[in-house]
Amino acid sequence: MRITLRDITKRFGATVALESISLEVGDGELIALVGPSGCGKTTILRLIAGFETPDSGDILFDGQSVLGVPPERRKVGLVFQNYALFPHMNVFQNVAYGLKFAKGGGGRAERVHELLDLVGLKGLEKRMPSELSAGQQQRVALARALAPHPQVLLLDEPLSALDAKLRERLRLEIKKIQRALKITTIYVTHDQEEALAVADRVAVMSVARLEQVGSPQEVYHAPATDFVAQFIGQGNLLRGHIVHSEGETIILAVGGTRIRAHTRESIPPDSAITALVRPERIRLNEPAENVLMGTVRGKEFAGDAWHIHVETPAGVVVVKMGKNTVVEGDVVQVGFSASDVYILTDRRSPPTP
Amino acid sequence: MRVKGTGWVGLLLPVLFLVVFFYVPVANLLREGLTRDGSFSLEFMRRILTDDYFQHVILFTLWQALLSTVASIVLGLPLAYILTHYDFPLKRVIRSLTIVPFVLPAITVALGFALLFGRNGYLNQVLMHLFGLSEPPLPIMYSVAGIVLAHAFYNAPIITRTVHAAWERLDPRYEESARALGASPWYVFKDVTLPMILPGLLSGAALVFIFCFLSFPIVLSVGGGRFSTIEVEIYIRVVTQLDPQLVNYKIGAALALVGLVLSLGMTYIYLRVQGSFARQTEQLRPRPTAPLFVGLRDFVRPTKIFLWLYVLFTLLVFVGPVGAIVADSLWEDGRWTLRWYSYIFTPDYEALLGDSPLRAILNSIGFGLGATALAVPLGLIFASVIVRGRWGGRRLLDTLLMAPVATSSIVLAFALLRTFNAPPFRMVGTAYAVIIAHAVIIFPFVVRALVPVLEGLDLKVVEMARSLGASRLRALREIELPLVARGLIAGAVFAFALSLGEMSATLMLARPGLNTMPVAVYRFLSQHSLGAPSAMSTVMILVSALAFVALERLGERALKL
Repeated sequence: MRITLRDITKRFGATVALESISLEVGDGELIALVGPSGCGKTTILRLIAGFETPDSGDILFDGQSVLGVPPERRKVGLVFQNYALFPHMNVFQNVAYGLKFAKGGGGRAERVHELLDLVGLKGLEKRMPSELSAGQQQRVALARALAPHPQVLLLDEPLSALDAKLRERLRLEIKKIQRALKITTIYVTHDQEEALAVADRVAVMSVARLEQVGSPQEVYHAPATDFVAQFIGQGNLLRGHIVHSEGETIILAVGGTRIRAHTRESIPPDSAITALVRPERIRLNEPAENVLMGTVRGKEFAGDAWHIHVETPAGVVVVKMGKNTVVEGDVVQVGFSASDVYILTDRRSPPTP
Repeated sequence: MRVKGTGWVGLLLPVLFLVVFFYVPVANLLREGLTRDGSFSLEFMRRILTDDYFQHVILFTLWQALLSTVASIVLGLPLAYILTHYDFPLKRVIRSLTIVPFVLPAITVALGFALLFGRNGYLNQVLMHLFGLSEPPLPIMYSVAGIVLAHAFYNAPIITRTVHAAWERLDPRYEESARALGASPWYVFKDVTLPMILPGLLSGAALVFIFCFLSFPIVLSVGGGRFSTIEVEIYIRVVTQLDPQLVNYKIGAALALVGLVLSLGMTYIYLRVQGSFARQTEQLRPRPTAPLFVGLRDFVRPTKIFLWLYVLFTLLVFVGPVGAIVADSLWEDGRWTLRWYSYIFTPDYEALLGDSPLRAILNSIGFGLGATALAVPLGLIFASVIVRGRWGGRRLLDTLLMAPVATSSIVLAFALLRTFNAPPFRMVGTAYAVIIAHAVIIFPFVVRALVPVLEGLDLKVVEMARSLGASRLRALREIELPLVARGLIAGAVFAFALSLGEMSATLMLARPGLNTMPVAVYRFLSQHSLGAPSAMSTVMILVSALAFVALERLGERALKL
């Protein structure tokens, strides 16, 4: 099923929770809503589920407005961060609960077993929620939400209460199940890594606003705004202005040095501009199209890589390296190619960190 | 934290206190009900269990407690719903006022009911005036309905408290999950909300049932002696009847045994329900609330009209009796007056009391101070072992503490009377007996009030002080004491108010010269003398109000038994 949010605004008292949000989620698509806590992502979910009503704008399921349709008739599957498993019902009763209201009602037990099979919890039907591990509770919550054949699956920070290892495993499973069922899914998370890993498309939110919607690759490599650039992945932001522009190639003055970059936009000379270079795209002391001179000021060991902090005229640049070849105080060349420089299209003043 | 040896030695004092003044006397009393001429005999048990009259007394005790519990639920539940779902002015105050039953003396409730609902009470007078009747239309006093209504007034706030606490803590996401699964609001309530707040309702109901089962002043005064419960029966047999063969003592002891078994059983149920209550998950999102009063159009919406009628009715039932007492204390022969106040503060002999009213006030203060001085230090030791102790010990101490709650004041006083009636421990007819009885009665409540105070004390700050160089004593003086001082003072005020309102045990133990304010109010009331008891009750209500403020300081959790 296709979900359309059309120019949604929602206020709670004096605070604006959502400001003219428009979003289209395709049939069978998994879209991740990612943003810092309090940015309004959960509110979007609650609007789609029908627990809140927008102050203005419209919500459409397959082109039909659902405003005024109560939650129990919207056919949404819902998984909360705390799972909200009914503590007085066992696993079977929890999963079967939504089937009670489905038309027909035959084959309820089969459906429950089918779903417990799907999430790998066969044989735990008689357990009470309090007797399950956090990971098992999460799976029961997923099975319960999917049992009555919902048209949409809404996941509100479904893995936030779990430890890192389990989180990685379960997000793969969720994606697998979502693919198999081809169910339209909105996945809310504050974890950008999780969003990139799980989603077909990622919608990045700052406070009350949608910053960018795109594939994981797009939001990572071509962030539309400073906010997205800083929120998704690690990024070095270089601030400067354009000194020369020739077709798709532009020359930037950054901290007394000139660097070369590509952009499809036509930007007039002398405009102030922010460029993004990802740490893993930078090489030290290797010939490159763009070179900044700098001094090594610090090193961090991150297990699979070293993070080198280099002070350059353009500010501190973080470089990700597989090997530990430099020491603090070394003067180094920071090199990267023009195609790894992303020009941010956002001209607003950057958020103060 | 591990308890050092000294902690356990300190615990000896309160445990010894409970054993000597509660467990031994009560056991001794029960033994008396099971013996004849010094050997084991079920004669008296058989007698009270087979005799029609005693069967009636036992069944009536259970019956009125059941009715009172149902009435308390009917009266208390809507308020819990309103407090959970709506915002309105004074909401915080009203929520706080639900602890009033713990501090308001029961005899003042009885007096308030007599003034409001009695034959010549305000309500009947207004109705007679309005409809030109020659007879009072509402015979509420001296009826089962009166007892039940007074109990409901007294205990409905407990239901409100426990249900509201459970409801407010219920994460709305449980209900939202159910709705997303297709459940209509009615199914959500039936399948999710109700089962999840049921432990709160059941534990509140069990507590109310125990209180009503053991209720004495209200049954005696509002029932006017026409209705005998187990407590009233024991009191009458022990205190008012000549008894050369001690048969009434034996029967009283057997009745006490039956009552104790029943109330301990209910206490066990209560504790079990409380336990099941503890597995609620942590709530992350608060429940949404809506304003109760939006605009004038509220008055035409049926649900809102019902809510407003309920609010008005509860105001009448809850504020009415207290208001009637205060009004009566300032009123004589159609004029406002302070005569009753000057009367109760004079040392003149009053035949109804066998003593002066001032004596009763001074006794109340003296006994209250004595009981507080005894119960608070002992309770502090007990509470600190509960808070810091290992879990096994904690359960044992909790259990040790519940038995005094499940034992009526009448039975306790009776047990003290029978046990300490010979030298060298002859306490009958002395002030010590009253003080000790009060201290035992208030002890569990004091401990419960002090536990959260001590739980709020982070031991790390003490460790921090010591690591910064403070000695243990200095850390105690400069860190721990200032942190718990307010809680301790509040606990002491609470203890004093409880002692001040205690009537049952005092009535059993008091001899002329040992009257207290509640006893004086009872004696005035039973002779239909008004005015003076209203003035005395107003004084007690003021002290209760002080205790109420103190409890507010202790916070919500102070009264979870």
